[in-house]
Amino acid sequence: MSRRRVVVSGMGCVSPLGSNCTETTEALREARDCVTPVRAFDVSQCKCRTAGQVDDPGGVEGFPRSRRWNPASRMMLAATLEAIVLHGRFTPDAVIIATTSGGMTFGENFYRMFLHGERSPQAARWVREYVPQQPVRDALDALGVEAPIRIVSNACASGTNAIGAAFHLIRSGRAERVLCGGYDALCELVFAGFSSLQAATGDKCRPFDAGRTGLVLGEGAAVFVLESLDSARAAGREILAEVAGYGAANDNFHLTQPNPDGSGPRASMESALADAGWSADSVDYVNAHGTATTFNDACEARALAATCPQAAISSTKGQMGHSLGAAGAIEAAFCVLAMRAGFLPANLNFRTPDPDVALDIVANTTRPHAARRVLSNSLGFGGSNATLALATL
Amino acid sequence: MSVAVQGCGWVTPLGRDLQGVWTALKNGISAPVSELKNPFTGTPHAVRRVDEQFFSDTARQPRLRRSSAISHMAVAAAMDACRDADHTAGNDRLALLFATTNGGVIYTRRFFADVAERGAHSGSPLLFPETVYNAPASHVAAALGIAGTVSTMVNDATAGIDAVAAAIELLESDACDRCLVVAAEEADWIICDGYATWNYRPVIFSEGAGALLLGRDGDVRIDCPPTCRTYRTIPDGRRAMKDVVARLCGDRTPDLLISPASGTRFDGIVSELPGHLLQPGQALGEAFAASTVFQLICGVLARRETPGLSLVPVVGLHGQLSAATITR
Repeated sequence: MSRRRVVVSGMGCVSPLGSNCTETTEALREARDCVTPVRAFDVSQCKCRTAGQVDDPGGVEGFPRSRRWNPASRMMLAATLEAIVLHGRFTPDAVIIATTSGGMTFGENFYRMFLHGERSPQAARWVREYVPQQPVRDALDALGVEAPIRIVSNACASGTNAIGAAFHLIRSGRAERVLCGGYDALCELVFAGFSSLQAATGDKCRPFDAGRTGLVLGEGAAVFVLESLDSARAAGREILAEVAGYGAANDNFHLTQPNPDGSGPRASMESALADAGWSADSVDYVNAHGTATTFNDACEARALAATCPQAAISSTKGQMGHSLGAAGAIEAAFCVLAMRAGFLPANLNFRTPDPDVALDIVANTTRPHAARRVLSNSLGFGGSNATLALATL
Repeated sequence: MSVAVQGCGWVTPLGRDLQGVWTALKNGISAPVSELKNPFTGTPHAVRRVDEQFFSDTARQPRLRRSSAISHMAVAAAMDACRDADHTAGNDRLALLFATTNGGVIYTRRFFADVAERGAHSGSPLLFPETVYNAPASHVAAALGIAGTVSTMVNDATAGIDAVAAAIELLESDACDRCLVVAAEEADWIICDGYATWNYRPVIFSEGAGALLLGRDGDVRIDCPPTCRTYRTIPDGRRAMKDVVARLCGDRTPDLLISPASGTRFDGIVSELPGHLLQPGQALGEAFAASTVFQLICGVLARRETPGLSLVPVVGLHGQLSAATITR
């Protein structure tokens, strides 16, 4: 079986940290807290009233039609545009994008229309744009990119799964170039959902802190051009990073809670390390899933301590919240940006180490370090666990 | 590369028995039609539903006690596919790819109804986890003890065939020894109303689940392109479909065409394809990704009866199409 090397030759990132990779790098370097009071809908009945929000992605002013779009479509457009801007006429073999809620705000509008008893002339558009592939299709159409779309939806592990699926397609020789990543826009249904589970906090999001009380939500999109190393070199493109390995595992413990013994993320990390052919002690840094919920962080910390005890660890969710289906893609982008800029991203709002687990947390400020090998973890509802192995080339 | 179809299972509006439903389809028997009403407007929608008795059977499983219909049907179809294949070995090297178009829409609508009508604090913590697209896959994985790759793919009807393509990729790359492809949809008034609002009017909406257990060894083989094709217009789609079929079939002529036709304008995309025609969607209704797997199962069951080539074209309403061949 063919095992070609796979590289990142284009990348776009829209998040509360910034509308592009340059802005994002600076916000990451400054360890900026980008969580703000929720503006899009009423949260007065929720314990958590903050989120990491994207005001309006810059860089898409040249696409006036996009003003009518769902925020998810605009974020996808901005991230995709940035990812392919240096690629000229771009035709990927496939587009593999992750999301958990698609255009849910339009679904909410559609239901409310019936509730209020007023048929809206927008109804057909809401239905059309509700489906999760539509924001991707909107972005591709605006940019003149023609390619089939595959949507991956494994809850909060989706973004990492989408990149992993693209990686496998290219490495096996079934595709040459794949556009991949993830998006999710903040919506009322999901906000109320995490509130109902009492997983969202009224405090700051404090990953791995002994006093952590829960997550805050976020939103954004990150898109990558993955291609074979040979293809990128032949085209003379700048190589941003190598995707060296990918691992996924399912723990079957509970629909919303990970197995406390950490076996799920441990299996996905070990699988990614084996796939990359790396020893665990060669990993410089792990971007943890680190949602700051009691269960997630305890489970993941156990897995990290067992698998990569020497690696520096941070969760970047303290800076921007948890962007669900986009999280794995955005955090992979953070890893690439941080490797290239020579620092390790900060784990914000960290006060007290958890006495149960000794980890080298990059607490509150970035750490100068030229990391060469990093892992990025994602854990999701349904027992989904996924890990990417990323490296400088 | 083709892979073997080792087992099939389905939960359909015509029943769950593999051979029984197949015989009914060949004899031109259609599932009964019932009505789902929009409670706000009173607008009725004709649907072909899975018999309620089915849900009382599966509800006894502890993990499914609080889950939505889509998960019940997915678990049942997956277990039937394993049984059909006599698959009783450990599931360490079994992968699961779940495909859906609309996901757990009943609980999603119910959860949001509580939030919209009574405020954000009113959302049920029991309903919310079942609203995520991968909840059915999680229940299937738990029921079968699948610890490896478990992934959910969402799209129009092409999600079902894209899952087969991804399964072939997993088997080819030795990421698993067997892969379950499961697709499921549940019927709800808001889905019927949504598609009607969008002016997508199939003959009749429906629900159900289909499952294929794929592996390396076996006489009945399935093959499909690694990715779907896109189309903009019906003539454009017709050309793209002919091209996909030509590449898949080469100089072989299919003796059976399992059409996705369900009474919409998209049917024109497959109207000129060769082969004796079978249209399961006419009898079972339109269940999107699940309908795709129903088509594939029909293709498999036909090949179990006689050697030959089944052609299964799939047309999604979001501008994607693909096809599969099933041979023995």
